[in-house]
Amino acid sequence: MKKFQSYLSLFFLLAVVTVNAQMLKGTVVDETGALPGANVFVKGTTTGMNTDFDGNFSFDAKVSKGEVVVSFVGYANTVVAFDANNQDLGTIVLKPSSVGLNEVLVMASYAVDRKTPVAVSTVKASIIEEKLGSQEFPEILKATPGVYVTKTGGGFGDSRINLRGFNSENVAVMINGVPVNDMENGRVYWSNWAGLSDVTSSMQVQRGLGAAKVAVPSVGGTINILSKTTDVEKGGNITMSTGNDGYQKYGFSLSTGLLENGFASTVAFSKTEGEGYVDGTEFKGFNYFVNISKKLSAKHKLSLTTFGAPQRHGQRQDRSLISRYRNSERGIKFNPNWGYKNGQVTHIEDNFYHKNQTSLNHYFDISENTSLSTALYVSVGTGGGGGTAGTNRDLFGVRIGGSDSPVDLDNIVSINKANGSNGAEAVLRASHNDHNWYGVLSTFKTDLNENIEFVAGVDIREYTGKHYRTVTDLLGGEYYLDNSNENNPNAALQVGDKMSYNNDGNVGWQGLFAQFEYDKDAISAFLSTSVSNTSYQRVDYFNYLDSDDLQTTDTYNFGGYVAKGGANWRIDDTHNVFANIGFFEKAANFDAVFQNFNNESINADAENQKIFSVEFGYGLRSEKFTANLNVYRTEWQDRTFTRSLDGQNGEEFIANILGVDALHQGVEFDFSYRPFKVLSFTGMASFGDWTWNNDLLDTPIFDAEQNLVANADLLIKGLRVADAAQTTAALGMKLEFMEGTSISVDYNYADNLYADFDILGSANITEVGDTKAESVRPSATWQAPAYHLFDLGLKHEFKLGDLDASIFARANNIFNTEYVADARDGEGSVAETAMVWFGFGRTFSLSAKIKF
Amino acid sequence: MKNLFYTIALFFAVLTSCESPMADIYDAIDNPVDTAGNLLPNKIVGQTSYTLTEEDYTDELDFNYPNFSSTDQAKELIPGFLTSKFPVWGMGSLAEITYDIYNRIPSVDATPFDVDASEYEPITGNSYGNFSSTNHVTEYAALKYPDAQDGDFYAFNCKYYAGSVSDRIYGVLMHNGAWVAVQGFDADAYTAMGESFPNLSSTDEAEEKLPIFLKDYNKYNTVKVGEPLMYVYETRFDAHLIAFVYDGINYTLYENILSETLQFGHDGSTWVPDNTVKYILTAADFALVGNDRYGNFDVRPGKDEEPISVRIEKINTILTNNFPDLAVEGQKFVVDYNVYNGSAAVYTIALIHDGTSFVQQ
Repeated sequence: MKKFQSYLSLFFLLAVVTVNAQMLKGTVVDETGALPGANVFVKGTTTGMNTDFDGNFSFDAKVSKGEVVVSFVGYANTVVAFDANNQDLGTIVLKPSSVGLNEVLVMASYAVDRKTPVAVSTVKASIIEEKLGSQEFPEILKATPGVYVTKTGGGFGDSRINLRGFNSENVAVMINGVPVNDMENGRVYWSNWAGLSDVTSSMQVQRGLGAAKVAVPSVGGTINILSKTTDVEKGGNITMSTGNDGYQKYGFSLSTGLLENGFASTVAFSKTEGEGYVDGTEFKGFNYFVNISKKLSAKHKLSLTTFGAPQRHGQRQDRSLISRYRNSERGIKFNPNWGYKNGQVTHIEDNFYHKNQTSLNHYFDISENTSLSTALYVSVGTGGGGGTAGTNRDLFGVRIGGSDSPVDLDNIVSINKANGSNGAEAVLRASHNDHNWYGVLSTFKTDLNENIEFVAGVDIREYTGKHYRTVTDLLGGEYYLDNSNENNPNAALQVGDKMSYNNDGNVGWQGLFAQFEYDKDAISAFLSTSVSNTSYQRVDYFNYLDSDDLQTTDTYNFGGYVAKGGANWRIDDTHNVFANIGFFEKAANFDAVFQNFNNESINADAENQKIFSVEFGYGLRSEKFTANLNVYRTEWQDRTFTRSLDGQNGEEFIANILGVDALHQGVEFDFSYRPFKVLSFTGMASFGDWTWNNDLLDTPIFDAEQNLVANADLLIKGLRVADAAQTTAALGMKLEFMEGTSISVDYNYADNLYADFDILGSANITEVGDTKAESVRPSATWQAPAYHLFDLGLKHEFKLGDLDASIFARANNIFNTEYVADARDGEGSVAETAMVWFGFGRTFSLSAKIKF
Repeated sequence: MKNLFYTIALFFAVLTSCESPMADIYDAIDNPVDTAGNLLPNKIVGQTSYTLTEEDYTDELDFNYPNFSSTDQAKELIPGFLTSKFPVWGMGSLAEITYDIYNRIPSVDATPFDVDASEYEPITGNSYGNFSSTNHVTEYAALKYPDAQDGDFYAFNCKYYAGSVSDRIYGVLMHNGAWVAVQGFDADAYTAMGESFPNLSSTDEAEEKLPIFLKDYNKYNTVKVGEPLMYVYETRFDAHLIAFVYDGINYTLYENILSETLQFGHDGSTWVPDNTVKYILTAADFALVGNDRYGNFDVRPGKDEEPISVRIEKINTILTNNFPDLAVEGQKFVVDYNVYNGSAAVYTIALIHDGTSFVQQ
């Protein structure tokens, strides 16, 4: 008892001390209840914290008088004054900043700090505005652990992003909760979204399994992009930018604000053009965004969003030897894929695309604890990529001058003209990849009790991909002879006519998902599962007569599922730990089923890929320092390779080479540190150990009738996974030397980048009955040199009359460092034979924004 | 504030201590080394066809006469000449050099004698009393004049069997250490030259009439262009040696100067006599080996032409087809060919014929 009294007195003593230290406290809520994870800071200082799970905060303000700023994604910032007599701020209600953003957060499976047990990094619109400049959209993530971004050939929108060593086929990208990975091959084409950065409200990278409830290929992770919805406040802005190599961008955004009749609308538009840093990559693009929201009643909200970014840009499709760049007068800007025709720059390789994404979202608050969010969406994409065709494509190697000069297209024109009625021998063509995509994504959410939330939904998609080639420029020829169309043999084609191939891929998707989420006291956890069916059908208009039944294949179905779970323990206000584990099976992609681009070699038994992942994380949140440490292990088991083989009797069959395992494991660390009011640091270090994990010996390969036809050996154990830097690090410093004016320096480092290669290149496939040759263990591919890059940014906010205005100046790669960002392995795996693309040298941009 | 300053200073100190990632690779490109690891002086690769001028012989080579005294001397001295003529050219450079060598064929004469009937048998080993091959003629000269010096010339009348036995006149010249036999003209030849007797009157007449006569005389024969051709003509008492050069149309008097062309290649350190042919595979070549669809070799891992052995085999087929005469031991080729390695590129391979096929150098 005495002991108890001692404790009691100690408690009171502490309480008194605490009171003396001026503890500022309160609770942050929104319309529906407590808001965990909201930022509460004393204005103009680094003093503050995030609210706990019940929305509560309590900290030493260190000053006796001032204002606290309360902020949270999707909500308008709220400022509350305090002084020595007013330390308990009570309940602070945050109002949504946008109409419909909160509801989108549910559909988009947005991860919440210290609650959702996944590794996550979030980039807000303000950071995009400050740091992106004229860079490619995914490059905003280059300081995120586990991320490797390159511009590939350097064309506008041609960038790629790898997460934890996995390429875009294994990185789920969702825009407002709607998956956008290509339905046939799983890839993400960032050129489709070239203007998206303008209308992004936040971009969240969930590494590893992620929080997505729908079935998505989140092997490496999930990139969750939330577009703007409609601003609650009336107003708008205009922006203008200029930059290196003729970069010009103009844009505006207008919002009506939430009108009394419950109607609100935001419209944004921009135009971007430039010559491109790389020779022959001139580009022009537009971006449009319209959102109309209407509050039908207290329980129903409708929101219509449509956006797109039509663009056309010259490409650098082909990589070159390092020596070719070195010996070129154009240096790392050298591009072999363009020429002059009639005095005009002509792109031999180019890309043009317009993908519109339109979504009608309905939000239904069924009751206080139950809601239903439904998105009906349509996406129509048209466009493709240009290239060469003809019987004498060598002519595209004839240059005006030396080997580093542009292609002499006038030479081809004169040859084609001389051919006269014999037709063109070299022409330009475009490979179209149009699509129509319809989907519905519906999410039902209800609180089963105080601690358990249940979410379930359906995800239905219908997709038709249209693949065909057209002649785009006869280059002086009278016609182009094409004999690919069984229904129109020996056709003399004109510009716009279809050539080479013309087929459709019909893909269907039916998915169901369900998730339980538990949250009580210091523990939060989730258990999630989804099942899906993918169906494929191929229609070939060229290889089969219209009267031939083979023109349209049967529909082939492939199932997949995801099961994952995780838990987070908030040890105290400073520390939390989490873990997650999951297993999923992913259906093979379209081309693995329809091998050889025909309707006869069909691999109806294409195997699923199996992925197992486990991850641990630790988080630290303190006044000046926050940090995250993650350890992950992702096993890509039984990775399937399909390859066509010639059988002993000349018949062709498809080999499923099973059992190739890759192991991606690593450690990721990131932090932010604000030692002084005016100075802050951010940083990360990411160490990947990504290897092929096993040797295949005598793997049997069967034909469709289950006859053993061949054996495969593949000695790859320990070989490093290529094409993404396994070690990356970043360090950023921002100094706000006066209010609203700051300078920032960002440093990026990449190492252990191995040149890309075909894993099956060294496979020894021996047909049954043949003498087996000895299998060769491939050596490590060429390792590109590590590189260090520095970016510099300047931001200045000022008043233009009554209007808020800001100027952003940005220089990337300020030391003009030359570095190899993409490499493909060559003979002997040495620098001399590697085919590479360099990253950009120094670039700059200057932009201004005026808000009204 | 001091701490703030130090923090920022430390940040920059750490970050600006990085070196250029491409330094080593660029250094290797800019300063290539040979297979032994020695630094190659430069990387400029040139190709030329060049004929030595009179100044080259007299000023550069310090000769008194504008020619070499032998092919061996040319092979020995031209590399040094090329080094000073093309000082910055390096490994892989090729120079096709045309030069003159002094190869004297003396204007000599001799009084013909008759070969004695007893002299045939020791040479021919039979008792027919005639020669039946040119070898018999030179062997006869060797036996008769064992101590002959270069430039010694003799002429004799002999019986010669070629289908039937006839009289012939031969001149024999000791030239560059070996006997050369030259048959004289028969009576019909002199008749064709407008002579009533089977001889010419003088050297002047020979120099005037033979160039005209030889066009007709050789019209069904293959005559090597640019090489000295020796003939023997008779005057009333003597047999004379005379040499002409055929330029493809006309015969001109040989001036004791021989024009030769030899290719030299730069091996990284010096010029060496070289028979390398540079060749770029054409669309027709790719078609020949079944690669006409794309006109290249697909060297991506797992593709048909990934192993270099497959490429060499196909290039062998192409070279043997295109250059049947050059498929001989020691012949070198440097072949450029289109590949697809994920992108279009041009690879180069150096090959040498080892007696059976072209192998990588």
